[in-house]
Amino acid sequence: MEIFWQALRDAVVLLARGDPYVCEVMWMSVQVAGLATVLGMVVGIPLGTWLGIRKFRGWGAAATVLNVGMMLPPVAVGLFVFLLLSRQGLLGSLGLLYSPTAMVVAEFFIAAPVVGAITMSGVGSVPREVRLQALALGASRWQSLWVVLREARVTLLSAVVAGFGAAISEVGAVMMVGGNLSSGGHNLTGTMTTAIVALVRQGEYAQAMAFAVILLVIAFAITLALTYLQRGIRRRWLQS
Amino acid sequence: MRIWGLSREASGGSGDRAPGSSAIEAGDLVKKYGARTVVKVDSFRVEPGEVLAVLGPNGAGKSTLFRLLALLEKPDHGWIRYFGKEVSVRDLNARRRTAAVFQRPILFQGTVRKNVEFGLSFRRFARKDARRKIDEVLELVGLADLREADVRTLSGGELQRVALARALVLEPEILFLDEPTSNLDITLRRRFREDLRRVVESLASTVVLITHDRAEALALANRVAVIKEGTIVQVGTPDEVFLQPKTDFVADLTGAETTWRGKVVSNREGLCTIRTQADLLVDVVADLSPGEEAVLSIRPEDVSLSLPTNAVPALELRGTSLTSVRNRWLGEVAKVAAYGALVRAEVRLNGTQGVAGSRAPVRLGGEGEVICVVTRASADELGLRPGLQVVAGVKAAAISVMPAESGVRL
Amino acid sequence: MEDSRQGGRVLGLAIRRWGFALHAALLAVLVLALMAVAGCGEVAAITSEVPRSDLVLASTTSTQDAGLFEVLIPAFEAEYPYRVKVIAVGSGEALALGSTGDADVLLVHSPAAEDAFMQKGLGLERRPVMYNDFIVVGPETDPAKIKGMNSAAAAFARIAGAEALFFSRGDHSGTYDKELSLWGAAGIAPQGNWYRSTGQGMGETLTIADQAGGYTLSDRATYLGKRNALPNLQILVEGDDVLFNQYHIIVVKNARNLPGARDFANWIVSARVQNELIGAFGVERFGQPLFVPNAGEEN
Repeated sequence: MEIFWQALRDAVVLLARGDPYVCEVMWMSVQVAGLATVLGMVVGIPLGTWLGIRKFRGWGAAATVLNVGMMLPPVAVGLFVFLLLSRQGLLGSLGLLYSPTAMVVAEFFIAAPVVGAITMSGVGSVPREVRLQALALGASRWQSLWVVLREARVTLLSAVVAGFGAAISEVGAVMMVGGNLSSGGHNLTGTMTTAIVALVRQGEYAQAMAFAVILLVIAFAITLALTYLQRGIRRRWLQS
Repeated sequence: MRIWGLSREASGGSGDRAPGSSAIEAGDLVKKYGARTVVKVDSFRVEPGEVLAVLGPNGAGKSTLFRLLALLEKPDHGWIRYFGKEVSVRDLNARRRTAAVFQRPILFQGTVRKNVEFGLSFRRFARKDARRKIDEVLELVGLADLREADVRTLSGGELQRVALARALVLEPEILFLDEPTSNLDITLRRRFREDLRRVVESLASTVVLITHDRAEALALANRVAVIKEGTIVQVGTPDEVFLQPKTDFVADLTGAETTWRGKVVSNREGLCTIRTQADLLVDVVADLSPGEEAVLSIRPEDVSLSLPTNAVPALELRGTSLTSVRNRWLGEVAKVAAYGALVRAEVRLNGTQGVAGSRAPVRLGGEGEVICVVTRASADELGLRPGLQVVAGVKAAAISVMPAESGVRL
Repeated sequence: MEDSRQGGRVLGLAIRRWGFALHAALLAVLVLALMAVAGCGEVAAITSEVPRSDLVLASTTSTQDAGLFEVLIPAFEAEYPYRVKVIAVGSGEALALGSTGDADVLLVHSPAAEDAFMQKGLGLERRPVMYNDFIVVGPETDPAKIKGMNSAAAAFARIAGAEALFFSRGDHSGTYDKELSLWGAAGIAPQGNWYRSTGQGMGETLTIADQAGGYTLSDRATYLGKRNALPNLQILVEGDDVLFNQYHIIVVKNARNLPGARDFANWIVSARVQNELIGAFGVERFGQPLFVPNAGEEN
């Protein structure tokens, strides 16, 4: 147990000192996950909204794909993206492997289904009458959609937060397509999660612990945010 | 008095009308859900300014027809015109010429004013104009002093009024009402219906009312369209539909119960005597205290008709203790309509009735009407025709009584 | 409203049509399949009647990636009543595990670190086991033009001069120590965007070098073992004496399973194991042994 406390102590020192490598890695994690989540929103929210509102012939299949995407093991996603971007792969000529771009791509495919599936569920649980009522009072199709989204806004926020959480905590996929590269003490493609793996392998427990502490703080903050939001999901409307 | 005009800006649409055109005209309307045909209406017409009630039982396709006409749902087949101009689901401007109130309207958390503003927020509307309009419409529905109230504190009836105000403030050329009172308690329903009637009468709008409550249709509509399993089986004025039903279905639906309102005069061990608003004394079986207000309902098939056997009408009602029928009134047949094996008759009572146990008839000076249904055979035997003097009798136990609570905030 | 009702109705119909029985049957099949898979372990355990104790062997990723343990471990377990757990990490990490007693026996190739380990009295005995050599691999295009050079240090100097992409292990592995000593011999402290650390094992580092088109220092065994998956890498420099890579077996003083550790150490230096298992490993596939046994010698 001593090794644990030792590592923790050293980690606090590292964090307090503001070690540059630690900061760079932390920033990379947040950047990549953030960008992936934003792209995930751009794709996931419209898709989830559309599936939440309309029922059409292929709806079951489309909804299943989205849900499967959310349940898919992220490391499998990593494999697919790796093969896609490798030299022998379809997009190999772009030379994107082992770059932050590749990491964003991998995390996008992890975050987008999460955002989409939760959005679909949230929008789908807004009663159909809300949209109908808006239309009946002269709303255009887009305006009525906006009304529905506003009603589901708490769930939408949870979707984004959950997507970000999934992205930033990803290890395997990011390791595969990012490579955890650094150069002369400066981070190139390492994230907090991949750095932890590499550092533990090298026996550098203090640095690994530093990242683990930061991740814990982030995870805690995300959970807190989600809980707070969920409590905010009260009925926003009255039915007489 | 029509006070609610139509302003062009509010309707959002061009407000143009082909002269002489109907407000709504639809043809060949078909809507299917899967294999089931829910609506199949060959032709449908609503004239400008009229109130048309679409009357039918639950599941008849009323709500679907409502959504099709209000351009909220796309029909599988058919066409719809507003004021001569063809419209469709995609037509935003057409939709903005109308407004709808649903059976259970959705209101948002906030004040009454915010909710009434809701529809206005979709169209570009100057704020101060909105203020004035909202005040006017709240006045119209009787919620003037609740403008800033939180909707959560409102009663069912008040919520319904807010929903109505929300639609009215848009000054729609066509107003759609889907079962506006179905969600209210029976006691509130009547009051609301009366207010609705007042509002509707003061509107220049055309009104399409969906309901399964024939009393509502009777009270509010200029014309009634009876719908059965997605098809319109009869259209006409309430009189035409109610008194000259074309089919058994229509007759069953329109029912035509006699409904009176009155005050309890006395209660002797469960037998109440009620003086109706038409000044008739009625014996009923109920548990009410003197002074309480009540609503009486008599089914036409519970009213029996007989011919007075005595030349002097006054003497007819003596000796009423020889029959168990406590309520017997003299009257004159006003209207007769036959359908199938039954005959429906409207009898106007002339205020002479027998009070059980007394020897002299009591002239009460009131009038009322009672609707009764007899078999064709009996009608023939009695020689039933307008102008015939008859005795209408109803057993006390056959009358259904409901307390009418006045003073309840509606 | 009607639509979702429709959907629910369809689903209900499907379940009804398929029948509850069919669903139950499918579930039963699934459960049985899972039990069978889980039961495999059980069955295996039942057939080996000998009670086995755990033995933790910490070794390097290069040995693991070469595939040597897939030959050695079963052979050892057939003769001795142990269940060997191989933990493949960098030499540095392996030595760290030895110091805490989390490993019983170590097979590593980092002479300097090993010396320090033994001097601290953390190891009871240390014997040479086998050696192989390091090679410098790189892309076919060879931008630094080091192909065929005799001196590894000079090759490194040229790579640095050309600022060609180079991937370093960047961990405390034997390979990394060797790499650093080469830079030292070349008199260069590598820095710049061309010099990248992966912090990972040999296998991963080779993959990265292959994909990104860079140079790296690797042990021959790992490279040969992975050659098919590294289409863009070639051996560019080899044979320099300084690329000699010696493996030692160390019995850990704080071992939890000391007898097991001793048994393994004795076994791996025994003549039969040396000649038949280690010496033969890789000959069939590559025409040369990946590791040369030298238990009898002292370097």
